[in-house]
Amino acid sequence: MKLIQHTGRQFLLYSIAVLLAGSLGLYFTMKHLIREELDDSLHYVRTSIEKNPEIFHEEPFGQELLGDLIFLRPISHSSTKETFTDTSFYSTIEGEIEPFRKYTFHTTLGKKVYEVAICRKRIENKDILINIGGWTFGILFVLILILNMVNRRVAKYTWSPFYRALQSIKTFSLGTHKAHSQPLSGIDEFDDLNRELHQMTGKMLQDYVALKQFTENASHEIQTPLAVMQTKTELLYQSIDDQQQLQHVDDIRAAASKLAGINHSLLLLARIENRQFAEIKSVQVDVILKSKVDTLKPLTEGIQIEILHELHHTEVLANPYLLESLLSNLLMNAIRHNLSNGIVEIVLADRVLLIRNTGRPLTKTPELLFKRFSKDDESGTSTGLGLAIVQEICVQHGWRISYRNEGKWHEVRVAFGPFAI
Amino acid sequence: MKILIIEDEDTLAQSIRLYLEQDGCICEVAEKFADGITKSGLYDYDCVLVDITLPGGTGLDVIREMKRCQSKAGIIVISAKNSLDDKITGLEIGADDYLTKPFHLSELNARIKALVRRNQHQGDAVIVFGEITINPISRSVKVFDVEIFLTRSEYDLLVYLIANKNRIVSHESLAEHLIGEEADHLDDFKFVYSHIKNLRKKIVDAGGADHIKAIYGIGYKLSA
Repeated sequence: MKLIQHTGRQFLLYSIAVLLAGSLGLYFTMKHLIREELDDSLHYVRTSIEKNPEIFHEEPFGQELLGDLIFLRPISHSSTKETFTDTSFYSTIEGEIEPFRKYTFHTTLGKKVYEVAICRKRIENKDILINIGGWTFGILFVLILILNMVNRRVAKYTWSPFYRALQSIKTFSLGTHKAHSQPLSGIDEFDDLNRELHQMTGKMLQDYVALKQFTENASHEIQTPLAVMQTKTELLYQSIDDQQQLQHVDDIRAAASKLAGINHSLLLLARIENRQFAEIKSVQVDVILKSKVDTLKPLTEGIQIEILHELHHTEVLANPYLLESLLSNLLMNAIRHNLSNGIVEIVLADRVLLIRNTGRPLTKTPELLFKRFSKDDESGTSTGLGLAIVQEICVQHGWRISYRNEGKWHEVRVAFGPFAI
Repeated sequence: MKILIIEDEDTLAQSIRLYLEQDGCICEVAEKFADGITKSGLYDYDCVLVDITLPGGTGLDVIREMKRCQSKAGIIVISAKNSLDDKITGLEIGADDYLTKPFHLSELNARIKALVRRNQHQGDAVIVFGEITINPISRSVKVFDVEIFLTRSEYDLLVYLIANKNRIVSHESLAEHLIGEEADHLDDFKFVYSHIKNLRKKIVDAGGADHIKAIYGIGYKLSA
């Protein structure tokens, strides 16, 4: 339930309670007031009768006087007792039974003692109740209407800074390098919230950038020593005759080379995440793929892996370097994890790239495939970063990547999505 | 052959110098931007190796200066792997080749030789190694004047090995020479072996000597 609905409901509940109590109170007060007023005026009639007894000269007396019905009955003993009672008569004018107030008292008119009853039409309780109830419900209805309207306005205008802030947090991503920021709304709570969010996200970004910068710097600094190691081992090859020592040197070279690979991949990942490959242009995937396949011919011919391809013209918006990196990684994966005399099938059609290859069954769950440093073969020189890079590139470009395993066939599918400029 | 190495990392510069001098090249090293500008302007070199990140300036400016002075030296940029923009800019302003760090000295050597050969002889120079003669323009190979037909891989390997003759060339550098940086992803370099095997067979079948010696687990060495 929305906060505004919640508070609205509370308000409405209390309003209903207050209105009901109020209308009940009003009903009783009004009933009391009207009766008092009626009784007072009946009393006044009594005074006029007692002052002018001559208006009653016939017996039995029962007549109408200024809208009041007056009945006189001679009695023997007089008392000071007087009563007010509610009663009803059949009204010939209205043609229905009407409620009356009856004032009964004993008095002496001339020389005789009478019991006098003055009856006056009164307002029905039901009428009062209906009137008050009607008004109450009317007010309640208007109240709900106004509450709804106000809520709607409040939700639309007053709460809009809050919803904007919420949206901004939802879409907040470290990669975009933009701290949360919203214009002043004039409402203290929201401005407070936005200020704090701005500070918090700003700090997060700072930390993130610092970390990425560190990764990149560290990676860059590692590169030179690695280059030195590699060239030194190459020099050593030339001056060593002993096969065993040569093997040691080669092990150093292989280790340095692997380190260089990891370093390169980590640096690439860091730079992708840092959005340093912002340049996007239209790239022909089929052309790049074809040239990759050609470049790799010495390899595939050498280890007798057959590459079958069906490449339809496909243009995507991408960073050319990243796209090339993605295709390289996928292709090399399909070749490396293949069987001897295996097959790689590449199909590029309908803006979908399918790379299928024969290979050994997976030893890990497919979900782990795209995780960093997760590799199928612990002993190999694979860095376990290739597919993580592929994944990151896909995320960056908004492409969908999926993996499927069917018997000895492994299939990676990249959906480039619609081409749009 | 005179070569200028403009590289601020001393150890790396010395390794390059040592490797190239073994082939009879004369090398000079400039470690700073100003040195690089001065030396490249003062002397004639066959080839200049330029690192992009230098103390005091960028290697790109060294290249611009050389081009302004109409230097005839071949220029090879050697730079960190991640600077793709440097590569494009470098080639645009007149560098002849680009090599990313870390690189194999054998690869650098082969590139220098190919570049100098193209520059000095307008490409018509043939490569001669014993009974083997190679024409780089037509990519044709003759053993004792009899043409043998090599695949692209076999041809590239032969030229590469001849450029690095009498030296051990690692499997990795051969693999990288053939398929470029994709070789980084490889677990083994068996494919190099199969191409070398075919190459040796073709030369021997044509009556040539078996010049290529396998160094077990490491690579190959071509010698007379």
